[in-house]
Amino acid sequence: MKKWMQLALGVLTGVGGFFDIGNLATSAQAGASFRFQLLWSLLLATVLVIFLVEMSGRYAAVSGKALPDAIRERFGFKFWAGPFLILSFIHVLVLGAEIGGICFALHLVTGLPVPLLAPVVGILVWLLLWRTTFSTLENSTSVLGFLTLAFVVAVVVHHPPLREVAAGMVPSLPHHHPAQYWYIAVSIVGAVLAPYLFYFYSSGAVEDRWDKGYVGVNRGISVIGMGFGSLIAVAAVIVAAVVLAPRGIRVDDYHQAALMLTDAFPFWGFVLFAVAMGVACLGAAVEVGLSMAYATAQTFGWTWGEDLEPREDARFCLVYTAAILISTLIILFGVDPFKLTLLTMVISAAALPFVAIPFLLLMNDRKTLREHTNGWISNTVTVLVVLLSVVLAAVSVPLTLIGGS
Amino acid sequence: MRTVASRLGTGWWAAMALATVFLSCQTQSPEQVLLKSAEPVASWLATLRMTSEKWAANSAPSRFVRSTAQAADDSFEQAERDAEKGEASPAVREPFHRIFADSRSACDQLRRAAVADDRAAALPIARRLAALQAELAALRKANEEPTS
Repeated sequence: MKKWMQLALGVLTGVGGFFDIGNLATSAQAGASFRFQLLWSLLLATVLVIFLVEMSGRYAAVSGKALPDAIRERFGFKFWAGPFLILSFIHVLVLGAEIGGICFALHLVTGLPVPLLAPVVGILVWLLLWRTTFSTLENSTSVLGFLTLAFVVAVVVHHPPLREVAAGMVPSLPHHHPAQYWYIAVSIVGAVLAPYLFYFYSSGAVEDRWDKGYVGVNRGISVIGMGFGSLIAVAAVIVAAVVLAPRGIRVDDYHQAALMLTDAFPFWGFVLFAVAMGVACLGAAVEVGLSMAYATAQTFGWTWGEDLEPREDARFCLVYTAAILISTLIILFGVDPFKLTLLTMVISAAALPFVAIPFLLLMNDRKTLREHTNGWISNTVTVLVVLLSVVLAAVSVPLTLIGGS
Repeated sequence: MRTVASRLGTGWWAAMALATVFLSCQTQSPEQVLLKSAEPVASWLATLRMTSEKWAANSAPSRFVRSTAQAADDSFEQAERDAEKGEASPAVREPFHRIFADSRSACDQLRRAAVADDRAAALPIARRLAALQAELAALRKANEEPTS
């Protein structure tokens, strides 16, 4: 019974954790500019993220170690120091994008300028991390994350052309703006395969004291949770395709996406969008802040744990405090949250080799994982992720130059 | 492991360098630059039109209309400036410049109506924005045809 509860909670976490500002921005942009044509990239990224999340949870359940901890232990600090610095930089940018998303959601409701809201939001995120336990954070943000299902309901209301939607699931070449098409495709992959997701998930498994008995639960959470999360992102693409594209609206700013639910829900659509955006970003901001602290503490071998009192793991708390402060300053100094989000997603995609290659090596460590090492399917997918990540790393920056908004 | 990583690193930088060389070799004619600057204007005109219609239908608050008009104005201003500074021939440039200026004027009209909370003005402004959208679309099509 306890494991069923864990599965249910894990699925909720998956749904809540999957859909964040990166998914919202890239989905809205994809649907508005290319209707259903980029759905394939979301599906591809979803399959890959399911495998990677499953592996990170399996490793944690069997070895009792989270990913950064395992990478440092297996390959040494010197090997991990470079990727760690790059991934920390990405963590700060993602946190800035999430804080910017919360600020924009509040801006929609209050009309106050986004930079002015940044300190309030920064303090809110920090207080959540400082005062609450891991399970409270996990469960509350996950349940609130269900508000993003408004996008799925909107799809039902709109009755999109199913044949066109299905056709979008198959990769195809763009009919116009090829650079922008590939730029958004890369951004979608970067948004779904966000490094923080794996570090947060595996560290969360250690916080929840998973053991080998949780391997099955982990598989269920990965498939159902990530699958449902992806469903919300797919719904956002479809809603943007049905509402924004026919009007000729291209999403280069969050203002251009804010009315996408008002055709389905004329009175509540605007508020629903603001609340869904705010809640999704708040959940993600908390996860990114924790992930940054987990990765840093595990890299340097410090005491860590969200359930510990701040005085027991002061350096762990200092890391998320500093990360929140820097990210808040980015928004306070007037950086456009939308542009920051897209740039961050592309940089995330470029940094994927640092995430994917250790997976391949760790998951084949027979000494630690024994009968739980990767099978040929998981290894094939991981090799695919590694190859894809190298290609993405090579093309992401040039695509930003020619396809970015 | 380190050798593989360093080889990947070399390949990545080589691809980046190639792409940068390729990009630097690509040049656009002044007319193409002008057409490109019209793309965000068309998108913002559509956004403002939808915003006006939703405001009229009580689906969006006045404060959102104000901030959207502000964001759109930034884009229109940029396009107007680009058109002024651009090297396209005056015969091509002037009609675009006029539409960009008219777009700014319609945007300001919407912003002022939102400040005054005058929802009755929303639909006439939406019609003005629709006319500008159609005019810009026709102009873009006319200037795209010879190159296609």
